Amino acid sequence: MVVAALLLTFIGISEIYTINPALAYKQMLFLGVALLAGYLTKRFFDFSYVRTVYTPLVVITFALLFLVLLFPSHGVRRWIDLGFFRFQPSELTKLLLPFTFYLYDPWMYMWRNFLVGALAFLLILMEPDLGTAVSVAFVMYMMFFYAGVNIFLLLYPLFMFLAVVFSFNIKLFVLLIGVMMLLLYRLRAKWYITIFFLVSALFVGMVTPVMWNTALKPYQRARILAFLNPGKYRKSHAYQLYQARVAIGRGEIFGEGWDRGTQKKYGFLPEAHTDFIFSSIAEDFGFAGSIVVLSLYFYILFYLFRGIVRHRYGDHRRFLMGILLFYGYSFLINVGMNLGLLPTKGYPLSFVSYGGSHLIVDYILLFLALKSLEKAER
Amino acid sequence: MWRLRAVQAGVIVWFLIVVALLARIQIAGIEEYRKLAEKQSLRIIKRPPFRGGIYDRNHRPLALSIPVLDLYQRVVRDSVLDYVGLLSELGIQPVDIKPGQWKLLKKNVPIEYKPLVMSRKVRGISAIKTYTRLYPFEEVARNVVGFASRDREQSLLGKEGLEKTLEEFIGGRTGYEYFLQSAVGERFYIATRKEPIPGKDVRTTLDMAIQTISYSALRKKVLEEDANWGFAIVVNPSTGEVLAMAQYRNPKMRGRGYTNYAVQYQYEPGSTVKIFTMAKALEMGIIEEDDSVFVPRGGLRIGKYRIRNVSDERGYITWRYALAHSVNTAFAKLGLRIGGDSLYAIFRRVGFGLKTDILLNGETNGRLIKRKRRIEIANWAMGQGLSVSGIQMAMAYSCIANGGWLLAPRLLLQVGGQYYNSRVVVRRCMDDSTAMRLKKLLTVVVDSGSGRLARIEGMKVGGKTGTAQKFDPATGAYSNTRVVTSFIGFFPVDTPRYLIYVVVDEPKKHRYGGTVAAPVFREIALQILNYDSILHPDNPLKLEIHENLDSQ
Repeated sequence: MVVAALLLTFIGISEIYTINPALAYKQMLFLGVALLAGYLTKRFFDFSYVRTVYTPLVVITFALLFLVLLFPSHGVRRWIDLGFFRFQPSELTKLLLPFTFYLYDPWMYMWRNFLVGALAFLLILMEPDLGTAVSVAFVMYMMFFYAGVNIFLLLYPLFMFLAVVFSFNIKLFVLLIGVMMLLLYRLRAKWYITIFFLVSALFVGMVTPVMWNTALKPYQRARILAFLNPGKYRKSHAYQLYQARVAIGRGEIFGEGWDRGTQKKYGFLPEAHTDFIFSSIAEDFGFAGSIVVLSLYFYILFYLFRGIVRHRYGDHRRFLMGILLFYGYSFLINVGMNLGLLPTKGYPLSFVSYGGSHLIVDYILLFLALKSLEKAER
Repeated sequence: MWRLRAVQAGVIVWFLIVVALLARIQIAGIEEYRKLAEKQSLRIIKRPPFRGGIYDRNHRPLALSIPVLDLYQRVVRDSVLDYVGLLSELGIQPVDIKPGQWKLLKKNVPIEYKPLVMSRKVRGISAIKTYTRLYPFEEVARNVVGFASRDREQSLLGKEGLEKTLEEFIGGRTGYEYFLQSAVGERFYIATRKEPIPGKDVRTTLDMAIQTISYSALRKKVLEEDANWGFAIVVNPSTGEVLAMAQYRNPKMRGRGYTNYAVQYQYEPGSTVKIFTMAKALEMGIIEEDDSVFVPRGGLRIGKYRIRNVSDERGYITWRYALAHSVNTAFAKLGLRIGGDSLYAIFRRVGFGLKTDILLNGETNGRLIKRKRRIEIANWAMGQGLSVSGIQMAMAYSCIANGGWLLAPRLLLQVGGQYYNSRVVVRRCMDDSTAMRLKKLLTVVVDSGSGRLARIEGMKVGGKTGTAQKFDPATGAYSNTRVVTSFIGFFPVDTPRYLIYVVVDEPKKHRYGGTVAAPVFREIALQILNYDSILHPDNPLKLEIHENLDSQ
């Protein structure tokens, strides 16, 4: 698994090198730091420390998230500037959540988990960093699903979300209500639950169009619209999306060759070293290269899956699931975004994208997972 | 455990979706995305060609191409670097453009700036060498030279005059450069390149000395008479070469002053046409010069119209006298005797109502339509009721001067290394003998008739005055006050080298061709005599010519 992760990072570094060699050297430095941190974790960490470490971790994470909100750096309330590199406190939630899952079973301590997740979600959302905030929400939601929380509690936010999305089209909205009612009937929901679902969905459906026009910032509106209609906004908001598509398309089967992709090399593909690195790789190494990258990811995810299946302790299983979900989200969102399946939210591809904070945290999580797997056999 | 399996299944489904989409884009969409990528990085620069110069017959430049730079911004505003303050020196500022776009910032920057723009001290700005046009003679020759301006591709394109009609010679061919460009505007691959093909220099038959002489004489007269405009055409009647085509337009006139009156404007020529009525009559043998004709007192009545004379000639006069003094009634009678069809025939034969195909744009046909009514035919005989252009009239008179050849007017002398120096005969329009007789009659006009003010000491000049009443659409009749005065003459009569046609529109002080246009003719002719080495008074050869003429 470490080999797969290292391969991904090296592919990433080689790709960053073609875009900006200086950043590649920096990324190598980060990799060194990350491996060191990972090694130290593996060497000295023990799961018996979790309960001790947990409270300070919660305090530090939320303190930093508050701090970031209070003291913006470079006009964006996202980083803490440490001079040589900018630390992103939202990455700490990646550590915090698995530990939370480890200590508190979301099934038993549902509200405690929910509180931690919701607070992190809100603080990150206020930065604003939609991509990371949604990652928290996604991981929490999937975790609750995995832990086996009441199905209606899970369905409720899902349907509310869909009600928001479909509220602009009356036919789709009616269809959604129908599906919802059918599902609730099939699940033998109590009548008051059904009524509650119905009323909330209708309420949300009516309020959303009003909110759309008043509460959302124009750029957010534009991004969502651009995602829905890439051709029309080719030169403006969907520019990235469009260029990513072109880059991937230019890669063809075996790619243009390392350092030869014109899309990223001549600046058409924006953010080619971070969010759109997958497109960049796809351009240089083509379909084959993309499949390799995806397979490495797949390998990491299924290594973790296998670990979860085989692990004897439930707390470790939840811990591993939390890590897996973060990796999975990265894979889901970043690749989906590169391919234009999901809106451009700005979320790095784990192990591959340029960026110190997420690389270090990704490796720490990786080694924590390995540590956890030492006790796996059941 | 089913929940874990569900998550696993989700991951697998997602993986499959991603792979399918990748295959769709990277394998099925190869062509599509290749095109898209090319579309956004392929750029074309058009390289304007050198535009050939236009010169007069003695190689004086009429239009020259001066190399200049067009400055383009090719990167977004913030990427423009200007360490030396070049842009502010030129008074330009970078503008907001989309990545990959090119924006023309400033045209016609002096070529001296090229090293600076190309140096590393300025980045994001491209200089493309192009040409601007310089017209050393400005309005002296503007009516004939015309002008060129930038077209949409920023190449010079002739819009008027010789600039337009010589386009195929002087225009050259635009060059292209296809290259791939990065998002921030750096070129990284030049695909194909086609060098521009320069245009050729053209030498015309114009003589700027004569053009300038004509222009200043006209200008003086137009201002003196407060006329609308005037033009003068100088041609070599034996070759058809146009030596000068000058015009002056009164600045008081409203509207744009782009009309080349000598070619693009048609007007009723007036009495200068009488010579062709005479020509037809002589050809038909109806009259001889010395035959007499009765001129009734108080003018001639045709239907409800009355044709009057300028002075009150009456009784019996000779045809020679009638022509010399431009007696309208006599020619009205003559016209009726000749008949409409025959008059139409001679007018057509000397080129009225037909384009001369001179190498200038917008030439008018004139207007010559068959007439039936007596008054119309009588009017025809004295030059009313038909319209001509200046160049038509000049070529028609050249026909008399050169012994009966109707020539095409020529402006082109040399293109690059190719000479165009043969005269172009349109048709034979009258007998040599008729032409000789007409020449003698025209000499009388200048010696003792209405054209006396055009007389030149020591040089035999033939010519004819013209005073055409302008048709006034408001009253539906010919105006008594608004006239087109003209004088057309050539010299030396025996072997004509110069034919000068002067037209002045609506003079205010005098109102006859003999008093307005004839002095202009004389002034131009006198200066030409000084300028022309053969006709110069000090040239012994010329004296011989003159003596021979005198002895005839």
